[in-house]
Amino acid sequence: MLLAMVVAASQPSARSADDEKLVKIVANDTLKFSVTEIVASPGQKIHVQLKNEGTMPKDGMGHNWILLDSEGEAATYAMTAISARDAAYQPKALASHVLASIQLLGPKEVGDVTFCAPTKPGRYPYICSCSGHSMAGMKGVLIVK
Amino acid sequence: MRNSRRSTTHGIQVSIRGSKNAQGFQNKWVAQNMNVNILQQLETPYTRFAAGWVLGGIGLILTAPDSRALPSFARQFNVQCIVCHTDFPILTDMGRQFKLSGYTMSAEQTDLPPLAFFLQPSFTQTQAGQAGGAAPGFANNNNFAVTQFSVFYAGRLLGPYASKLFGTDAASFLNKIGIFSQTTYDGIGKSWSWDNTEVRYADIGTVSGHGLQYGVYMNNNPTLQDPWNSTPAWSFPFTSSGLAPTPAAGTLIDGGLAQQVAGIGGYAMIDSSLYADVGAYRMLGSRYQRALGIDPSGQTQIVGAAPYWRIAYTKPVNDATCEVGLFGLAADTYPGRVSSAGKDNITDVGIDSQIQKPVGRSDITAMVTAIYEHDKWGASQALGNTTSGSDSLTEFKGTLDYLWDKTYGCAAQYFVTNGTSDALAYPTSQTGSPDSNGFILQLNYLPLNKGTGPSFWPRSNVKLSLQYVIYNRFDGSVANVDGAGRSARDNNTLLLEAWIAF
Ligand SMILES: [Cu+2]
Repeated sequence: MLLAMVVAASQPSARSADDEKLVKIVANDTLKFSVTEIVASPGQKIHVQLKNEGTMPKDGMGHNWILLDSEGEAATYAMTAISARDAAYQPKALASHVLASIQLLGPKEVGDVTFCAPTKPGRYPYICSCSGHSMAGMKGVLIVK
Repeated sequence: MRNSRRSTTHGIQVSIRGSKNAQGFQNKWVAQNMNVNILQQLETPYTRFAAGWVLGGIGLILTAPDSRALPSFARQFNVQCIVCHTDFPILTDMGRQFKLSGYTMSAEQTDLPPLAFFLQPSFTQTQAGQAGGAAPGFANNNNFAVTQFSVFYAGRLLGPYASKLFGTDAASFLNKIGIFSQTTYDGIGKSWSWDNTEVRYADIGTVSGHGLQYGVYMNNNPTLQDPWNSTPAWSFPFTSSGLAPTPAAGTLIDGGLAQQVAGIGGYAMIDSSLYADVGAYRMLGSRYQRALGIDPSGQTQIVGAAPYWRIAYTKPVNDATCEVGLFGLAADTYPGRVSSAGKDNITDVGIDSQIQKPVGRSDITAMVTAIYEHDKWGASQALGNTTSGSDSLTEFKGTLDYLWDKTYGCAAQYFVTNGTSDALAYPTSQTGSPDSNGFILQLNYLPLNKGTGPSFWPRSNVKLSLQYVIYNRFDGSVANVDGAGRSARDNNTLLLEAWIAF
């Protein structure tokens, strides 16, 4: 979260508030994000809201939302996160690869984050890093173009 | 064709059930050797050792307290089945990671031992009944049965107890050792035997900047160790009726050695993309096999060690995971365990591919497997078990598995087996041909998959399935399969089954 705000603050904010993109993502007990592709323009302000509509315990079936700086990092981050349960599945050693994040949410909880899309066009993966969820399909991509 | 069905959850049924239903993978081998006596087998130090750990493992299973299903994996990792499986037992990326970790990944949230159980009651109907009964003690048709009941000890070898027993330092090593062991009661043959069993040591590392997951394994069925569902041991249809006729011919690697061998090997996954596995399998001595519930009669006996190899490349393409690979096994063998006439040589080479893709609320897995087998009948021809000095056999399976909302699924497979005709090698065929082909269609309902089991035992799961096997050709014939006018379609089989994991 903190990092996300730092990223947001460091991005050019030439656009008006009208340009802010609101993305509502729903997660549940089936290990899917309801939105698996977000398209944004470079530097565009994005407000992501994640709602966990599941009913299963946060321990093992909680969900978070982690935007990473490259597709290569997503797999590494997901693997490392599995053993970072004490850090809510956000391994500190890899924090520098996180562009924005929403913390782990239990059933019926809602979280959000506002940040500016990277200025460099490309594909930026997002995952749920809880207990290997991304490797079961809980992932998506932010396309900046 | 049926081989994989047996080699997965039914691995052992054919060998224990004997000749009536031994139309499965053994048949090619059994049939050609029925006219020879089973000779006393030499027990090598290797097989003694192998059987030793096996028996030790069984002992461990029987003396352990109580507990989990691959529910045992779910408890250990503290996740739902759907983290590691789509339509179980098909693995997700996470499931493959878990397997590569030697079944050792853990959230360390449970104190229960890694025990689990499968119960598979079923109903079988063939298009035409089987005169004399579908199996001893069963009616000609429309039979209820417990296909199988299995007990698993699967997870970290010492379960959650390594640090309590040996301290944290030793536990950091011991917790890299994992086990998958299955002991099965065959409700048709009415007997217990060991089933798919494996012990692994696995670790991760870095070599010149490349990420490495690696391990060593010891198991009793070639391809049991493989992380994809496009190799024989864990390939669709995962379960099949033991009360229906099945084609006679099958390749050796496709279940033909399941539970009869002990193999050791090592594997490595480099940068999560290149996978290699090299191993060797030896036959277990007949006394040990009997002790484990396996009837060694008529087995194709590996002489010495049979090398096994596997290479695969996997890559995420957008949100799909794609894999393509090769695998193979080469064995010098004594037909029917008869060593007096020299050796046969059997070489299997397989190519496989799997694509797995989540689409909206759906999970789609496509799997393709083709296996080519070349047989040199140095001994079999001399013994009068084959007419030719060499034969070949090709198997192909293409499968599409679909799961919606983790709950409703369907699957379809086209299978075809073709090979050189040989009247002595395939005595059950009217034409001496091993050719069979057809479809398997299946509907699945997994009511608990996206939730949990009952609150007192949350890590449990159920799969209710309706499977229909359609034969266009069976053992070389379309119209007259058995010489008495039975058509290939008369062997079409409806299987209703509940697969209960707890
Ligand atoms: Cu999640």
